[in-house]
Amino acid sequence: MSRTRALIIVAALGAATAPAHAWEPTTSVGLAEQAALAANVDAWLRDLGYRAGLFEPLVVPPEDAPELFTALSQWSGIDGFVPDVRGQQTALAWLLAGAALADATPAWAANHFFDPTTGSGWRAPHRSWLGRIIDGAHRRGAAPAVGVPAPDWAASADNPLGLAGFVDQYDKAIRAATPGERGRHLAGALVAAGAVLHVLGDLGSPSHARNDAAAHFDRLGNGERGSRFERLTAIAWGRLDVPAAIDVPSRDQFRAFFTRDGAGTQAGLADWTARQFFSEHTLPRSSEVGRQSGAALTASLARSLRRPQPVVTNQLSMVVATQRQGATLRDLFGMCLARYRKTRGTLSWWLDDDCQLEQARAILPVVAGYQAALLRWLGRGQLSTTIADGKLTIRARGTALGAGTLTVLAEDGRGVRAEATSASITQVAEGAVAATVEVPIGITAVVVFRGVDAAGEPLVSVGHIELP
Amino acid sequence: MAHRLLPLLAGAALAMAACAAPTPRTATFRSRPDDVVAGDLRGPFNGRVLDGANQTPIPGALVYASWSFVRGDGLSVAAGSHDAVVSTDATGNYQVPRFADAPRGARLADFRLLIYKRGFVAYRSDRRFDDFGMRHDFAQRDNVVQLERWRPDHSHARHLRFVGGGAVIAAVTGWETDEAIAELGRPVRAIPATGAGPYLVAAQLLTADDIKKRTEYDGQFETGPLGDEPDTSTYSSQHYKALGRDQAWDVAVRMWRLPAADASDRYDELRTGLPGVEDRDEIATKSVRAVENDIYAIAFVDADRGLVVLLTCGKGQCANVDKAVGLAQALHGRIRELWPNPTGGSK
Repeated sequence: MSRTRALIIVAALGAATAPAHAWEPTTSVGLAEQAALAANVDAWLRDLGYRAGLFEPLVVPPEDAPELFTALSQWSGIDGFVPDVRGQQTALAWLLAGAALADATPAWAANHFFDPTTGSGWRAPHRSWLGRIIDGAHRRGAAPAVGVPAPDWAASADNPLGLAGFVDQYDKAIRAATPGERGRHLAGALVAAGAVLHVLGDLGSPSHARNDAAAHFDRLGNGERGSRFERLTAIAWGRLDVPAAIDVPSRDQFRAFFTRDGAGTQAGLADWTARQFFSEHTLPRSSEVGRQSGAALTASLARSLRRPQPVVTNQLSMVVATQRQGATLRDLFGMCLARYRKTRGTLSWWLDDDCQLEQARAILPVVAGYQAALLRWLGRGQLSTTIADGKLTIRARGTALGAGTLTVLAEDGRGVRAEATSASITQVAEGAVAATVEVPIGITAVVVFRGVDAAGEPLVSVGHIELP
Repeated sequence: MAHRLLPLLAGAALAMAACAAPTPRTATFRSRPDDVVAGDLRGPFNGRVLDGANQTPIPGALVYASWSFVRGDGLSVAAGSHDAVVSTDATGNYQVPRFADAPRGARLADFRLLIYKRGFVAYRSDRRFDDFGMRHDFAQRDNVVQLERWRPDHSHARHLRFVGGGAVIAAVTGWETDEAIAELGRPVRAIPATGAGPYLVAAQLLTADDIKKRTEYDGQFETGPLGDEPDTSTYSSQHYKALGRDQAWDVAVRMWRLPAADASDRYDELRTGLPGVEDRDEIATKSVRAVENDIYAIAFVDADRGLVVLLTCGKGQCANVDKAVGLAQALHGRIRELWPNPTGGSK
């Protein structure tokens, strides 16, 4: 980062830093944008028949979704995801709208925390009586005491912008009769997908994965409180400058994107984050180390840890730590994990802006990678179709099918689809024939499977073929 | 008595403090370009928009100003936005009035400015287009914006991501969507070689002041590329549209930059295609004069540099053909300044 950039950020923060509930909206939207590019959502949409891919204009009539438009009216056109007066914007913009709307209420924002060591979500920090009075006067005590753990919230049927909402809208985006209806449901599916990406992405912020609610109430100037780390990230990268995704291996199960044991990025994002980084209020406690070294120092360090990871070795430089500016604890890749200083025998820890910016620079591409992998997972279902001897043969492609319903739709020259036939399926291996049916009458045959995959995860698979 | 009043007074003070409008955030931009003091998110804002290629003012550019608000403490949410739309005047200046009040209980969190003119790369007050990095040169007052002319290697998909959406922006950027769609379906065009010598565009070769000086015109011009075909590495154009006048007051420059043999061919095509052509060879290697209805045309080829130029000037602006020739000579003089030692046409 250039010195000028760093100075401007520091100047802005020094005077007034914003409260933040997660990655700030600009960061969440930028991450979703990078994920969409990395996951090649453009090709996915083109495969569905949307010639313009990411730039396909999709219309949701405002009168059909007043709550959605009320929520989107809180944003500016320059943010990149506000539809025009007809309710039209590009497919990419609808995805970004979902990424912004996931934080539409404080209650939703509180559902974006998950501590993989305990399985718990948001726990509001204790407020003093004075704080509670001020909260009440501001009518802003809306942050709930407890939140739903993020992986549960993303999959919850109570979450209108969760996995269930995506599957429902995506299925309708294929089955609905008219192109207008299908486009409207596709926009809905993209909004839900963007919101799910946001919930996952928040687990890349250390305070979200380390049960550090207090980090979101740090005093930041001008009467604002929030996460300094997340505000710094928003100022430094905004929406547009969020780094490109690092490729992350996919998962068989939805929850595994959020939490799973494993090394490196084989782990769930919450696990990866919680192990790799400190947050503001989960740094080691200050401890008396005197002139300790070796085993005694190791023991003191172990006692000072609030959580077992990141591991603080006894390789700390106690000589350098006595300097006024202290010393830096770095990980294996040289990234700043924390600063430490020894003053009169007491070892203390902190995170400064430069250190947090180094961390954000390392975290953002990984988060975008997890999100890209999740997007690919959401769009993983494909069906291959062939016609021979008057029969339409449908095969599972890319993913085995579990129990569900396979429907064949016939599309006419106006783009209107009608169900031709359907069948129940119990299990189909990848590449195996799912069904062979009479060729329907129309211009195009569209086949859609709605059910679960071999791992029992919700799945919508799609295929189409021009009819002779 | 006092001990009874004290809690009430304290409570009232707390309530007043809590109900006070939240302080706006500190701006990440300066008050003025030469100042180190942070600007005021509320405004007012003013500045001037210039063509980065020749420093001429750009009238009629869309200036979209947006204030955004947040509400809450710790877990905050978006609390609305306020937009103002103005455009640059004939001298390229814009003024955005000060924004009065945030919604009740909301904090003014950010201000962003977008400037859009077709044929140019848009300008955002917070980010640069080339690398999406943070912009450091935006100022609340006396801001100077140098719009970069659109080049064929620029990406419309990237540009649409850059400018955002919404009713106002979508209305002026709609034409770019088809370009972006086509672009995503194929690789982005590579930057074609521009040949030897400096990078030149038509807008560098003649300014509005050059024209006024020679034609004694006292009106204003709106400048920008001609709409006939987009600028490429081998072609660029500049239109000087006289504001409030018909096209007889307009001036236009078209420039082709080609390998020497192709430049000669292009010149011959012009020579045979223009009406009322008269060979004069008074500018550069060869030149012609032409006239049709209300328009004079001067074409010349500079074989050493591989440049072919066609200047057209309406008879309202150029009272006689000598005025048009004078403009073309000035233009060629500018080429020689910018590219003093040619080694032969573009390779």
